[in-house]
Amino acid sequence: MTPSIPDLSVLTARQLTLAYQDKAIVKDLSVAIPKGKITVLIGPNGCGKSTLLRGLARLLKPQGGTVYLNSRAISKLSTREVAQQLSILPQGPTAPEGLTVQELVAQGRYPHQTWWQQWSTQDEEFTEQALLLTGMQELADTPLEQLSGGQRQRAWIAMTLAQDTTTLLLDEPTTFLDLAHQIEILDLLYEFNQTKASTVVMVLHDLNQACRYADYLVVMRQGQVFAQGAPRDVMTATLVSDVFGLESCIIPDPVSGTPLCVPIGRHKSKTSGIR
Amino acid sequence: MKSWLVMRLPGVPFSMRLSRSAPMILLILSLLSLGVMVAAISFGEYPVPAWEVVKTVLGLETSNPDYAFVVQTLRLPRVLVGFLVGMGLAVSGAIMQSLTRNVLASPDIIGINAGASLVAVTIIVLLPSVPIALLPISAFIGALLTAALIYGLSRGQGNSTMRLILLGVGIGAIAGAATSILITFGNIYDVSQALIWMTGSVYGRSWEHLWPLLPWVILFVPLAWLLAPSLNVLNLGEDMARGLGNRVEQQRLVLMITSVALAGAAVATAGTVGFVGLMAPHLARQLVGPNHEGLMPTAALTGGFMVILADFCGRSLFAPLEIPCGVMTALVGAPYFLYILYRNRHL
Repeated sequence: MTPSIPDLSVLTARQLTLAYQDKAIVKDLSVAIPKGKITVLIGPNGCGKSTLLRGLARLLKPQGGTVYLNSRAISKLSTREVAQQLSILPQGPTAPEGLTVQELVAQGRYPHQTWWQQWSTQDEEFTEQALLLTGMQELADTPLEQLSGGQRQRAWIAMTLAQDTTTLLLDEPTTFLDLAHQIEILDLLYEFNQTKASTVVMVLHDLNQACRYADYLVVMRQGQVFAQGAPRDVMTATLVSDVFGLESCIIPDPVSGTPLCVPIGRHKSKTSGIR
Repeated sequence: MKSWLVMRLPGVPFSMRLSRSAPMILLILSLLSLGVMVAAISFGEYPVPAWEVVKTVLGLETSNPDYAFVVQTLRLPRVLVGFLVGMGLAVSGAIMQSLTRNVLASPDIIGINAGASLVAVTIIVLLPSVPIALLPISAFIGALLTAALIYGLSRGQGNSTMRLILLGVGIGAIAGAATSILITFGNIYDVSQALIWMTGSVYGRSWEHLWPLLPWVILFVPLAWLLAPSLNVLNLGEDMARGLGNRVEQQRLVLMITSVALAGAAVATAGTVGFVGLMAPHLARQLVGPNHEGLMPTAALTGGFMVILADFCGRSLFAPLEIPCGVMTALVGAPYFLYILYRNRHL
């Protein structure tokens, strides 16, 4: 299962073991994140997908194995160097009261600043651009607590965009948002990936959104990669049954043609026996 | 950008930004502080006209040769000590509140001041021959030990800041109890010294109290300001700060030492002037917002202003009776604390 395309991958994990207080969540896992693509990590609750993301972003120190960023061991790079190449948006981030959108987005420039160079013209340009890309310009001076959930998430994404990295990691960027805002965020990330040729890695819960937006799907189960590849090749009724323990039908998404997983469940089938 | 004041030097890689409202607020706070300083120096059993105060401080010829003694020797050092103590407490509180991301965390609430106080009282009562200049260092050691103890105990089992605060309150109470024991059994003369010191007062503070305090403030307040960008990202949470390339452990340690050093030095000089470390950063945040480039100097001036105002009020309201400034700050601070607690009850 060890991938053999290190040149094309921006982020590679080799025999990675990640643990919280001796409890191994991810065990001996190897994965290669393809460059310039959208990779989505899916899997049931507790399978270790968020942990893997934190490990890839060096937020969690591995107990074994190595993460390579652009084929250099991430642990050998200074955290600042990493932050200039890779940004991470953790799940449900919180900001101090009274912080405005613009002030938050400006924090994305932190890895490019020094104590004598705290607000260069470049910092200003990237902040402006990030606000523009996310459509947050009009709300720039609004405190975060006055925004809706969707707007707030866009502000955080704007911050990671201002960081000006080629790789963007997001942990469940759509949780707690209504469906319209979920799609809006995913479209925004897709546009970012397309226009900047950036690599996006995210954890998503919704299999159908994962299949629609992912170029590359990494399916996890019990701290291991169970399957990986294009959604079309990976997403099957057998896989959903094996990984999630759920019987389902996989049909083409009428909008995008990508796989669409329709759960069956124990009740409410029109004709019993569809498999 | 609209809401910022940006400074860049042409041709030199130097730039910074500040909240647009900060310079005006800093100016107003400075003027208010100067006003209270002059009023405090001029007021007393032997009044000195305000204009003569200014002239004396500037070293100009005055109409009465006694003014120089009253101003320079008796009242000026007291006011300056009060101001520095307030600055120290406020900056210490601002750092701690941002580090723990909890507005209730300040060196007095989480027991750091009580720990500093315990060690200082121990020195006063048990080793009365120790010179006054060593008090800040001993209080600093006390504060550091307390901080390390709280940090050590709150580690490991989740990182709830409420847990840290409750632990701090408990350890503060223990330190307070130990201090009481010392006072009960100590030599009566030394104990009265300790008691005066402990109430949180700048009464009778002279230049010999100012000089040991000054280096701590000169070193650590600007350091806190230099660490502002780090505090800004730490305020977004540990993961976010790490993701942005902040060396979280190292920065946190430096910030904690800065905060504890300032609290220790302030407590060593004026005893436990309560609630300044809680209120001043909170008020400053309302004035200039949560960005630490503006917050640090604003909190420092607010804290300094609060202590000299409290001391002036305590001295003048019931003259010739004097109420220690620590009592005055507690009178205002305790309800303010309850108000903050109520506003943040969902935390």
